[in-house]
Amino acid sequence: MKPVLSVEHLTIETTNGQPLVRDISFSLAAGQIVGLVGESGCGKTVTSLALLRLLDEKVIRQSGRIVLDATDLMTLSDRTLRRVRGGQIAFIMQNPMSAFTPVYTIGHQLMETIRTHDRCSKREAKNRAVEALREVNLDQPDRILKAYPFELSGGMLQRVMIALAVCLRPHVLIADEPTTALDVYNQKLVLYYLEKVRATYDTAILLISHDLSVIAEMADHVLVMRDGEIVEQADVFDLFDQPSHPYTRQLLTQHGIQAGGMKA
Amino acid sequence: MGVYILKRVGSVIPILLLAILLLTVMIHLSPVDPAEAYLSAAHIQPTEEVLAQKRAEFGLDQSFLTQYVTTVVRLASFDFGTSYVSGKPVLDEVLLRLPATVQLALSSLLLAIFVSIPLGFLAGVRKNGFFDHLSRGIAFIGASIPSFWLGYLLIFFFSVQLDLLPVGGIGSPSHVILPAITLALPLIALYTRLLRTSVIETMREPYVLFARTRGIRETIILGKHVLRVAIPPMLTGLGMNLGKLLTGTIIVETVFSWPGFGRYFIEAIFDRDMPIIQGYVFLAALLFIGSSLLVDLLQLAIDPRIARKGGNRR
Amino acid sequence: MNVPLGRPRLLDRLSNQRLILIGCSVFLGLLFLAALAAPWLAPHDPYLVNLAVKLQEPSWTYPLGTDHLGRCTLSRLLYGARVSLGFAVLIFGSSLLIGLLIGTLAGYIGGWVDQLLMRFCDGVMAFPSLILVLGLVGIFGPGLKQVIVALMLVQWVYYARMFRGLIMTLKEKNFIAAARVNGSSHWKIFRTHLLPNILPPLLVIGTLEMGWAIMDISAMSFLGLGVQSPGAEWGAMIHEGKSYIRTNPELMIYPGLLIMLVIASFNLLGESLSERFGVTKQTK
Repeated sequence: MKPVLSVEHLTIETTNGQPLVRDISFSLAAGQIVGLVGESGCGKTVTSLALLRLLDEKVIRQSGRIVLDATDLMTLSDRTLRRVRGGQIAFIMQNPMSAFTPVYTIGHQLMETIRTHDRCSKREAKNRAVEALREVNLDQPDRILKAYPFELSGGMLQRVMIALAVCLRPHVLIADEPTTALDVYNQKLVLYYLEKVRATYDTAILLISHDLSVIAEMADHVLVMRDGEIVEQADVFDLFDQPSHPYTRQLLTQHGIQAGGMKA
Repeated sequence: MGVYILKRVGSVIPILLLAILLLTVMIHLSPVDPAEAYLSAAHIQPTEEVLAQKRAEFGLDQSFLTQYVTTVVRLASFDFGTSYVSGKPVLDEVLLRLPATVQLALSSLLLAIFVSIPLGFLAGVRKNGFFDHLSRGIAFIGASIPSFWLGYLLIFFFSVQLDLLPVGGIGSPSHVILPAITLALPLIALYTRLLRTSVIETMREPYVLFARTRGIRETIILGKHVLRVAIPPMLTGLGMNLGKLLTGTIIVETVFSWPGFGRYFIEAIFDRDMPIIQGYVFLAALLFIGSSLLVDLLQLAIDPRIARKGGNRR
Repeated sequence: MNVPLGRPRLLDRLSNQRLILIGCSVFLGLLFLAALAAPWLAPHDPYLVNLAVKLQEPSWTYPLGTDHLGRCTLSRLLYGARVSLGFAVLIFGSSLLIGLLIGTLAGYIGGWVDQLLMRFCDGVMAFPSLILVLGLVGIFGPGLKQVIVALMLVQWVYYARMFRGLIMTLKEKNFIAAARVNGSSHWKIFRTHLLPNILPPLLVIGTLEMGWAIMDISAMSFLGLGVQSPGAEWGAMIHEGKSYIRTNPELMIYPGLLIMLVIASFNLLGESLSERFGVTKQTK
């Protein structure tokens, strides 16, 4: 499968030489869900932000290649990168309650995003927003558009984020701990919609989570990260069946998953 | 939300009553006999009978409690008595001079806001940049410089040396420039730093990062998302410092011979014109207390979260 | 972005802070010394009127020139320092003591005593401080004594609140109770438990308050309500010098500059202390 996003020898360190991510490489193919797993602080979020080149260049040095559809993102100007962000690589944040600016309505922020990437009238943008909300089965999309972020629940906001991410039909979706801040019911819902997005639009998804059961359920391919390095990467069945790296085995045991006891 | 407003407004009353109590106590303790003061200001010979008569008139022979209650009632109906010096009702004298002070105060406030918002914003957006250092310098000077000295410095440079602006008095727009600047500087010092801190904090918020991941232009993120959230705390600070503005008018009006209420207050102190003094202090307290109330109510209007939740923000 | 800041930056800030602390302390220290030593340092009697040498340029006899009455400016500035700094310390000390007394009483005893004292504080705080001071001066008459007393009566409120808060938190934390159980004397309790908690905010507020006190004293003197002529005080000097702004602006520039430098030093000192101790500042 030809990769949609290919990360080659990505290294991230602070300007004083403290390394955050060491020489990692992986790729995402269309319609593939790659899980990135590891404990907090191992560099998962830093990596995801690096893919979008959102790390503060005054404090961080980033090197390597990030190839999206044959273009190396590291060579692009800020202006072009802005079009990539949201338009071709979308991002879903961990805490939905603080992802939206509190003083503007959801509709305002959705339409703002749509109109930043595609030239269209307000009315068109609104229609697209409504459609996007319907895709994640949110009732009364008009009411939601008029609401302020604090008026919606975490689960709803997460779905809004998915809807927003998808309405621009990006090639890649980065979901940073999308289920961590939610209850079990909403977790299942979010994963359901992510799967739906993958199936409908063939989007490549980088699913970041410290929760192994989420990874086990969703991912096709898994990257295990520790201290800024990818210690193991394998097909999901292989990983859970026969983990080769001791750290992976440690993680599995910590989560109470027996190696080899993987549901097909 | 209506309940919240009522409660807030209601909480003002006990404080006001306390303030009036304090005022009455202070006057009661004064070594100056108001009757004597009145007579001397009116150039009437203070004989025993006249003194006694005036004392009765002023209610000075009544018990402290009665005096307090009378004062409260009078102040509530805005009856501040009559000036010893002019004989006219204090309220009239106040209303005569208030417009000038309001004009000065408003000009300064507007100037302060127009300068502080861009300066504070730019200082926060680029920490340790040029504007940040500039704002720090201004804040430093504004907080340390005595406003009466600043006033004369400005007069020296702009009126005496450059002969650009008038030395004092009121009349044309050019008359208000130097006084407004003098009055505004300490305010600018404060507001700029407030906004800067607010901007810096807001920029750390997750939704700013999220907006960037959506590919929104940085100028829009800063101008819309950050500014809109960062300004209310600055306005709160603004409201809470109206007392500083009021105090400032006293000095600035004196320096620039601005015919406002503040300068009148100082004249009254020299003349020992008690009703004026009392009236001014009371109105100052009223303004002081009222301004924090106003700020709370304003916040309700600006931040939709407070209105709909009736309580805390963030 | 939760990325750790490089170490050098932090050190930079720390050393900057130290520099400021030392610089301001030295400046203020020198000024205090100069004020104390004024009778010996001043080249002339600050009150000596000599119209023959009025409005002179700086010279060896009169290092900063003379004012409109022929008095030596430098001498007057030095004696002015005595007034400003001396009374600032006096006001700080006395308002601190009053605040300590009232705050501790309120916090320790609690109940209706606390309520009463706190309502009293609320009443005082209902007025902007300078206006209250002016009001008091208006009622009791102009004069340096009245101004000082008025300032004392207005400043203690902050300290009272602070001490009350401290006592109450300590009460809750059972420091006092536990120490009493151990058999420690009241003095020991005070020294080991209360003092370390109180010193930082006290120092911070104290330095800032001294700056404000100087501002207020000079403002009142400027208005003609504090130090009256022929007294030597910086604010009063500006008051007298303003009539000569066209011909001899330095008469009002020198004293004003000094006021600003002193207040600025106190402000800087207070700010760096508050950074050092991590105390939140109160704005007036």
